[in-house]
Amino acid sequence: MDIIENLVLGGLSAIGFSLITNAPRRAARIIGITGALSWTVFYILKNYSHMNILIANYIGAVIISALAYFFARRYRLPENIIVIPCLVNLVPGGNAYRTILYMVQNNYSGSINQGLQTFLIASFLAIGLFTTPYVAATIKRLKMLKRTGRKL
Amino acid sequence: MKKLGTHALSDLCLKTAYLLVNGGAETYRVEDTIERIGHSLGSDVRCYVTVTAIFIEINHQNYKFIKSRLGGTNLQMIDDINTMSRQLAEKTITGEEFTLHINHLYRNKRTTDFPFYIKAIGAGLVSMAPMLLYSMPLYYFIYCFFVGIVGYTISYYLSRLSMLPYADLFISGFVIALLAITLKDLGITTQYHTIIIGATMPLVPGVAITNAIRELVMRHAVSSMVKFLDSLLVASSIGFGIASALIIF
Repeated sequence: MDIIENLVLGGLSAIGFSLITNAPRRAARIIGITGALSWTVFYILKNYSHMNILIANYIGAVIISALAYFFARRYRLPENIIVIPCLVNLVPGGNAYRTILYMVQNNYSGSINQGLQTFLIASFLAIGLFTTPYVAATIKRLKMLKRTGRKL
Repeated sequence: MKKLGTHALSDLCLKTAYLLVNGGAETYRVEDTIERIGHSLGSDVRCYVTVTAIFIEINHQNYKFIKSRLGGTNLQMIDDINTMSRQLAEKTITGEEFTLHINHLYRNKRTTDFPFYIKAIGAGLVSMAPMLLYSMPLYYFIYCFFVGIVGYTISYYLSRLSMLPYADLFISGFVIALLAITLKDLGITTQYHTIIIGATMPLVPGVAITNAIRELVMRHAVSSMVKFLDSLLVASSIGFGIASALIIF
């Protein structure tokens, strides 16, 4: 039940952001699927397996970039159109808010704590986004080298 | 196929690059697309894009540049131009048709767009997702939906009205925090933190941050820094809007 709720809302919120940024209509279905899957995996990893939140975010971003890589080639869309709306769910809004909140409450050490965590989560999201294109490009390159028989 | 003159070609390339940058494409993608368009029209085009200016060189003799501005996201524009340039490379449309389409887009500066109420509903949907993370009861989702819509509406109309770029985000952050605190004071909800977190989600500069990081990794440092600073300013102006509401009330 919980999982279904997450699938539906994750997909809807990704589609919602695609409406704001005026994404093409034919991409809405793809964005919905990608957003729902990435959000649900992130939610399960975070709430049920008590994994480090950085790893949960990283895996969520990897799923987004992998699906975007696949769908972009299948339906001839720019990858960016799929990535941007799906990534919004994973943005560390809570930590960013707490950075400001503690600052207002004169709790500066707590504010720096949360700020650093926000920065770390954002960096791990970025690393996750680059994992799939990097792996795909490496495999392609290795195949080409094998076919032509050249050395690195 | 009749070849375009260098003058017409440089105009075409400048307009296409301008539209792509204003649609929110990454700079390396813009440069790549322009060079491919030049190649499929039979000329040697070089392009250099920072976010605030676009430089074009045609066949090592014709140089031009255009000033452009930061801001605006229109993914439909990127998709349209991408599809057209791909058709141009496959020779399913001619250079004249392509020029006609680009001129049309450049004159109107807009593509098919969703009406405002659909965008507002989209903003409401975006605000609901963070509630799942904190496993809130159902009525929180509904309040967050409406607060998110109000915040997005304010920023949407103020950004068209005012000349000062970050003021709209400051004000909408302020109003969101104010609404959330009011809901708590009226005894409708028990706390305001999650509602603020959710309702600011549609305003987050997601496009700018994503593009800035991608450009930085692709070694386009200048445009990446411009976008990064911009997204930092957007985020902090929302944050200071919320902070001032929290301090006052």
